[in-house]
Amino acid sequence: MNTKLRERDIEIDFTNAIDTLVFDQMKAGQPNYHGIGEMHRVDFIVELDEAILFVEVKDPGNPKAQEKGLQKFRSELNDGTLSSTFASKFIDSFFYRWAEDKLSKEVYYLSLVTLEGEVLPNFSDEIAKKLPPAGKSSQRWHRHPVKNCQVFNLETWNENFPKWPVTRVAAVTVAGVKQ
Amino acid sequence: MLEKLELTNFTSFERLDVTFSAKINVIVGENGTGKTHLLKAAYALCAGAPLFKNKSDLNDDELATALTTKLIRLFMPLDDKLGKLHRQGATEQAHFSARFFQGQKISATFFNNSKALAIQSRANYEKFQNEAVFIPTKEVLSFMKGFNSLYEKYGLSFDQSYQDICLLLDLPEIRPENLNAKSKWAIEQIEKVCDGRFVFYGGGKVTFRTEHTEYSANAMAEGFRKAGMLARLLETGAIQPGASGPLFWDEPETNMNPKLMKLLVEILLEMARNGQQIILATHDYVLLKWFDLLMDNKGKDDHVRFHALYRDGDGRVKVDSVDDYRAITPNAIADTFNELTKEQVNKKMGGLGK
Repeated sequence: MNTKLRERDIEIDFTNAIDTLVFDQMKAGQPNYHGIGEMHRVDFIVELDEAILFVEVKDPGNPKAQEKGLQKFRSELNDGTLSSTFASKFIDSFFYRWAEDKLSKEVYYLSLVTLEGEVLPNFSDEIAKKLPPAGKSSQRWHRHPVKNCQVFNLETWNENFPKWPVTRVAAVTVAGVKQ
Repeated sequence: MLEKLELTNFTSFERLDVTFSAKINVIVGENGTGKTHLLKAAYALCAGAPLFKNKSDLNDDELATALTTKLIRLFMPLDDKLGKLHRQGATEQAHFSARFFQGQKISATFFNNSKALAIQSRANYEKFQNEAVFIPTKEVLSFMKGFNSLYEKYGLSFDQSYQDICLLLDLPEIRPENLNAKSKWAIEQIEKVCDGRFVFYGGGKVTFRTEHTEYSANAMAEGFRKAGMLARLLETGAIQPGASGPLFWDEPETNMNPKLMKLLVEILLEMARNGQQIILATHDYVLLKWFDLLMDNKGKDDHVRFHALYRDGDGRVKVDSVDDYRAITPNAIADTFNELTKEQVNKKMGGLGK
């Protein structure tokens, strides 16, 4: 099993994972083909002995990021669309994994977004309150769908999760062609 | 405008050199690193301006006496003794000096048993006549009625920056033709956001007037009272971009909501574009971020310099001055947000990933 998962230039090594999955695989014929384009998808799902991690990666801090994309990202961050998208990714992925009967452990939703550390606590809370039960408490619930919903940047991720080191990897070029 | 400040063995500073931007300066740092002391020391050294306006041939002794009084009233050292401002444990003299953009200089020294400062040197200091303004942390509109006479008569536990600001707020309005267009714009913006204006009757009496009625100033939100102080200082010409000395502002964010903060930063940037030097101290990320987002260093030639105060391994206060918010190290404000992230991990991740 490959413990290293990569989303464009960001690579995370979940060294103690017992299973890893590129969850948003939309190429037919590839292992773990997702196949339902209508559903939002997190990037990775990682199974540990005692927990399941849903992982979403966004890299606005990439030195190669284009101005147009950054403007869209900033505007979605400001108007709340981005947190809604992050919430939808969790909810739909959760539903999908439930249908696969793969939700036997507690789920943690960890996102890696290359933003300034100052905006992360607030952005984490913004996503969390859009996840069921939307900040309410229900007496009838016996389980909570997400144990922790939190957003990190490269520095805070590495500081808090030494067993899952994240690195920015340079794109491999062969004869000038990006692979 | 203040260009450079040097402090040696003064309060908690063993040795600190700060080079200011002619536009906007933001001082950050944890509690106890001396942000307010830095502002007050700089403000005290600007105190020559009103002195020389009143008496242009002030000699060194008279100047030393006046600056000593200013320092004591601003810092309120124990038993009103100047020597208490000498850094504890220092064996050398306390020394502080300021250099202004037009080449004027002043430097002074004292020791732990000195009754007054000794002017060490001065160059064209009498020519620095642009009066500085210091806005302290607390708003004053709610208590300025009668404050000045009380302050003169009794030993109140307010430092002199409160008296100074009350006196400036009580000045009459400048003639409309002399009101800077940008000041007029800023006053209108503040009135719009507060939905009315503060009216100053003299003697510290202040009310708040809307289109239909008049209220006690105390009935207004503290954040509005703070914004009202800025509007009034512009209205009286105490702050006149291009003509007045530096504007010092200690924690402008206190009691201000984030929306008001955006307007405040827009106004400060506009004032700086028109020649107003601004030196403020803050703990607030929102204020820093608004500067970062609203400044236009290309089209409008904005400049914001961040001065981070911190203690080194030996407990000495140091300063790191940078022109990009992201380059501030150490950044006590950013560190606090990282602490929040860490605490949530500790509380909710149960050791996963460690």
